[in-house]
Amino acid sequence: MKSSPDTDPHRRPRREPVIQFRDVGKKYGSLEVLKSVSLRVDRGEVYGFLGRNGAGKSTAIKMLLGITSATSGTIEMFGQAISENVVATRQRVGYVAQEQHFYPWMSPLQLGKFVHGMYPRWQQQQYLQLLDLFELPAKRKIGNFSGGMKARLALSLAVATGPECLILDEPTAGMDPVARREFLDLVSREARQTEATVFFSTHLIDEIESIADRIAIIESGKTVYEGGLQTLSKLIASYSIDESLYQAGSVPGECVYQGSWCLQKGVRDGKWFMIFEYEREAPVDPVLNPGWQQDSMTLEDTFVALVARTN
Amino acid sequence: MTWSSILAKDAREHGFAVFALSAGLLGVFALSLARQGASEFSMSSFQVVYFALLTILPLIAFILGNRLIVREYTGGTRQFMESLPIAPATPLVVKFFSGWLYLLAAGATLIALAALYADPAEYFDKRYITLLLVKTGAVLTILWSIVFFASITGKFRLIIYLATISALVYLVYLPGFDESRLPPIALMDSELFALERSIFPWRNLVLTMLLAAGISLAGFAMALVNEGSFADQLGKPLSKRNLVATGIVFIAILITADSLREQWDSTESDFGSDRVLRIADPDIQISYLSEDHLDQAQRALDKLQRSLSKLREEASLETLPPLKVALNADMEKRLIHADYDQSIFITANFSNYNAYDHSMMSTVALHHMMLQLTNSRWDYESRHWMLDGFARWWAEGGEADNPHTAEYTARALLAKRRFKAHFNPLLEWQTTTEQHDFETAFALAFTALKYLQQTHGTATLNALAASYIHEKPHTSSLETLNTLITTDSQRFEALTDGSIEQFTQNWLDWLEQQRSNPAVQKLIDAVPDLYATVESTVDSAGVSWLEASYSPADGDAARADGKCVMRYKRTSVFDREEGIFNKDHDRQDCTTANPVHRIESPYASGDRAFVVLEYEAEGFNWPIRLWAGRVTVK
Repeated sequence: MKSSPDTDPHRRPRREPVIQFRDVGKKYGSLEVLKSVSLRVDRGEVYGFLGRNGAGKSTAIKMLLGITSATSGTIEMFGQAISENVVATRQRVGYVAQEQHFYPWMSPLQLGKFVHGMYPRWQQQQYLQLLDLFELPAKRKIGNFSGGMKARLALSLAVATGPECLILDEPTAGMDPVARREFLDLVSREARQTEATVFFSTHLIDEIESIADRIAIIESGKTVYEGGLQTLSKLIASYSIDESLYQAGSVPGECVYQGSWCLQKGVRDGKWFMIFEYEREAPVDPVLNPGWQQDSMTLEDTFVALVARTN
Repeated sequence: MTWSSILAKDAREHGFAVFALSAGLLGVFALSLARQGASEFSMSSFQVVYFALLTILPLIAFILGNRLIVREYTGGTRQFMESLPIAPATPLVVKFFSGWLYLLAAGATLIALAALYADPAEYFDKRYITLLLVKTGAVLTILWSIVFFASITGKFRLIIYLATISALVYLVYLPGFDESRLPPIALMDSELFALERSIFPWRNLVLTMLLAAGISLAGFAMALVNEGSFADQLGKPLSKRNLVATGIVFIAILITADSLREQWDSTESDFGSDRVLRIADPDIQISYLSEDHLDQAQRALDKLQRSLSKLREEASLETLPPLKVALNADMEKRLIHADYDQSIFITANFSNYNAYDHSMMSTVALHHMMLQLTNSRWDYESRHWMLDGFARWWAEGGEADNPHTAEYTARALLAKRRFKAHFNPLLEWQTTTEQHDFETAFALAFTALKYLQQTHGTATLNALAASYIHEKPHTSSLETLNTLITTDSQRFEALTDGSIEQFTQNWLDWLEQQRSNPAVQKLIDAVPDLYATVESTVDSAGVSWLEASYSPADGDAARADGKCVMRYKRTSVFDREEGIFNKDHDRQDCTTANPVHRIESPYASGDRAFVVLEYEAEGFNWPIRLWAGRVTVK
């Protein structure tokens, strides 16, 4: 696993961990869903949990909620093993699932009435305000709600429980871009206002880019990166040359090989490219051989390159 | 509190449905109570609770299980529930107990209503009510545990229900296995359930509750094992692969069951002893117990051979199914037990038979042989008189005038004395058989066929028999429909050019003319025309009695002599055709000084008894029945 030093300028001072995975594995019979996941989420952080579909994100979250247990390794929430008191731990957590399975015959008001007795810090007033804010009809049956409305309702419910930690499992899946943007804004705002820790799982890097302080990337059941977003972008660099100028064996320049290894190379859009991952940081303005140039990389390019390395 | 939140949620979700189910249950129960109270042969109102336990309560349990559990598991809301701060087992525990307690409350309510509606004469005390409550509770508990377990299996629940029903059917048909002693079936004995008033069946109760606990725990384990992933998988709809696999398993079970059944059938009657008389054509085997019985066995064999040969000849049959007869010296002489499948199997005590008795055994053998040949299609009531008539007819060698004709005719005329107005004894054959006993019914049918032969000839008689014996099983729904449209009356009319109603009237008129036969009249004169009644009484000490009295029907007081016999047995709460061959009887000099029979009731208050009164007349091989009916013991 690649772990970066805390070099992001807007990084908060490190606090005590709220979530901690230590070399966690999970097997269903002979199927190994998680091999080795390690990560640490500190209090007050907005933490992005990135991975492709099927990478094991939902399994990790199920373990975090105590719905399923780890086959190996340890998971701690609020400083104690999750298995020690699942009910008490869940009372401190707000959870928004990937798919909302509310009772369709209930209205948001009835749903609140149903769950409020289970959460000691339930805030009815805040719940009603959130329903109002999210433009959710309090007395309409949830069965008539759209996917976006259900997601907003799930967030309202999760926030109204007065959580110390919000766990969001791909909550924007199936939402249109406008609804997705609105939802992310709401999450960002609620996170800042309540100072709750947010653990946000997604496979869409742009969602994370807008709100996360730090991220973890898992691939094939393993953590392949944990650290700041800016640090991640500094660790990867891509160089290219026009395909007509490329000669077999030619390289971008001597300096790009220092403390690095090639993640990917090939032809794309009429250009021969090479992507490097650096132990520390990619060189700034490196001296390149004639014809070679350094390409700008989006966070998504970086994510794809890292995933490609793992596979 | 968590459980109260879940309970309140379930109440909101299923409250209306439960209310509707409760209203339906109470409505059906009230109707059943009213109906049984108004019926001619009323039974204990608590028996209606038994019917509810067999019918509507299992249906309610099934609906309840579907709503409370299946919906949660297949609808995905369980995933929402799983993420809440509650213990994994809590929702399931709440659902289990709410469904269970609802069913117990429903059962208790039905018992309370039955007690309120009970006949004032019906005695019941706290012990009886407690006994009923405990038995009902145990039955409902095992019922709910099965529904709970099956509901957890999600997509396989219908298969579980089918398997449970199949297992019960298997046990019922398993040879040599008395399923009525197996809890919980033992608690649901049709007669003991409501009529047992004092003995607590502790063993059956405990075993039933242990079984219910085991099934319930298995349900909980299945729902919670492997962090619910098993139940999660079961909650998903059946895939095509699942369906194909289920189909294959189901077909395999059917094939296995069929093979087992064939095995049982093939081993049901194996005569391996040395003391067996055999002839190959027709295939008859008679087993006897000692050399003392050899002569009787030989007489039986000769008589059966003649009877069966006559059937084969007159009905133009190439082969007949094998017949096996076993001597059982402990049986009542009057009782002939018969069964059939691939072969006919008769058990009787023929160690002391006379010619008449041998003729009766042949009649029974022919009766069951014809049922086997027609795959029981000749068993319907509208055609049954012909089946009985032909059995007797061919047992007597197809001879209208045989050594027993006078007795048959006299029996028929004596039975005619008791026919009510507008009663057709041939078409209402079950009533005829019960009121006048099998022996007289055979005699009535014999004389009807004798009249038919006289008026239409032997060819018509044989054509009538052949139309039933050679009737082919239907191969299409059109043929079935055609048969339904073509009634037995129409078939009879087509062969005889006259309606069955007209034939019946003509036959009864012809019967009256047979009084001119001195032998017949002599037999009739030997039987006084008595009016008989039976009632249940309770004396000042609270003891129940069964009493029977006789009075001359036409002021013929001087004729009340000879021996009268009262036979009795406990009977079902349902009215069904009854025969009576048991040893329980009271034999007295017959007088009109009442009551002639007075016995302390061997049955408890509320029980029903089937009672018959018979007259043993000189010249008759079997007694003449004077009365038959059901009495509810006070």
